[in-house]
Amino acid sequence: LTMPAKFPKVTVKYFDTTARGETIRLILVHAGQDFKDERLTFAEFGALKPSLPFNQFPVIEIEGEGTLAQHMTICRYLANRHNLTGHTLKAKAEADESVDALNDIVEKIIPIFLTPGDDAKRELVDKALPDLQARFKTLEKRLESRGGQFLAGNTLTWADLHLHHIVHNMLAKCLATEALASCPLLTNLNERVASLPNIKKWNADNLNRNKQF
Amino acid sequence: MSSSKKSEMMTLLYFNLPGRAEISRLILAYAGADFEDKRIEFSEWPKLKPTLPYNQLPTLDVDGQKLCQSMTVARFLANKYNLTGHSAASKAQADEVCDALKDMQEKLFPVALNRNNPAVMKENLAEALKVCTPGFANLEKRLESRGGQFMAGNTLTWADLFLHNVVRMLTMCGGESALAGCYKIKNLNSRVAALPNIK
Repeated sequence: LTMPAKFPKVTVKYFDTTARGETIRLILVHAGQDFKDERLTFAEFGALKPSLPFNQFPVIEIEGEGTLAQHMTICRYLANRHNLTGHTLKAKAEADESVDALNDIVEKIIPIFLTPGDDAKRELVDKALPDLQARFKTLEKRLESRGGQFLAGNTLTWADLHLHHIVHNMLAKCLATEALASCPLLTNLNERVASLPNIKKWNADNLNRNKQF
Repeated sequence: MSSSKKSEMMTLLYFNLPGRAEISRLILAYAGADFEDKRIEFSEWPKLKPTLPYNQLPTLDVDGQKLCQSMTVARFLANKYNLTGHSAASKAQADEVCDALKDMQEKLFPVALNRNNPAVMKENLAEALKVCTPGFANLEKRLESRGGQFMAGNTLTWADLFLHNVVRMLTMCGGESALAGCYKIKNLNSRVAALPNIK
């Protein structure tokens, strides 16, 4: 699938990690759009920080359009440009809703993700697991009520890509994949996203990246 | 996609306070939309909570289905009533500003909730100002960079309504110092406040 020539060049600026930036990359990768994947150190970020719109990462620079900030806004914008938000207003809202619910889960996972050491992580996961399982179960029921195939609009959207990032990168790194224990539909959806050609290649190519945290 | 049939009236469900539903109420008020502004008492909450898709409020009943998550509901309504600007870029600009405002609003909730406990409120306000002071300074710059009139797409969007919501909350919490030097924001806020349906 070739990109229309008029789509502006995109530069993604984030750390060398997945955390709060990977879904942006997955959207671009799945859409087949070339982009500059800039990964900055903490020191480089510090130097850039005062000039960033909200002093935060990630940001994207869009050729001819300027800088856009806020992780979810960036995802939604790129998803809209690449037809990854569903086909109706309702579908877009379903995608947004699923992403919001996933981000509530991300907030619970982030402290574990940032804790160094597997033993320390395991201890935190043991405490967090019942809550994580309950939250994913709620999402599983929501997915079921929408037909069981996709999180929104009966079609692949950025919400499904975001789910995949959270399961494949964050739960895995936190040794918390049991959070999906009684969620066969979500598990299946995650596997289907993982096997999308561009996503599969991207994940395989990046096995030795994402070392910063 | 909008329906004019009375039988398909939307219901916005929340507590009897502004909180996380106010932005949606402002959008609906500005649009002059027919909707049921349903408010429950705290005593009803324990029974209602488990019946909701994410055990949270607000929710929006639309076309026989329940939509959840406060920002999703607001964005859906903003799109429905043409308050998101006229291009993909302006939608993104509005989203970006609303994300930043949301971060600030979340810090203000503990301040508002502890209004009856001055010591706790003072501490929470100090915490909130750590986010709100640079936050509003950044938004002032953002507003300037976009022409100074509106937050996104050179037209009124839900980002301007949400700005008004958060500024009102900030003022109510005693945090006006965060707006020192934010002349364009103060001007935009008073223009929104003066809109007939908002007033």
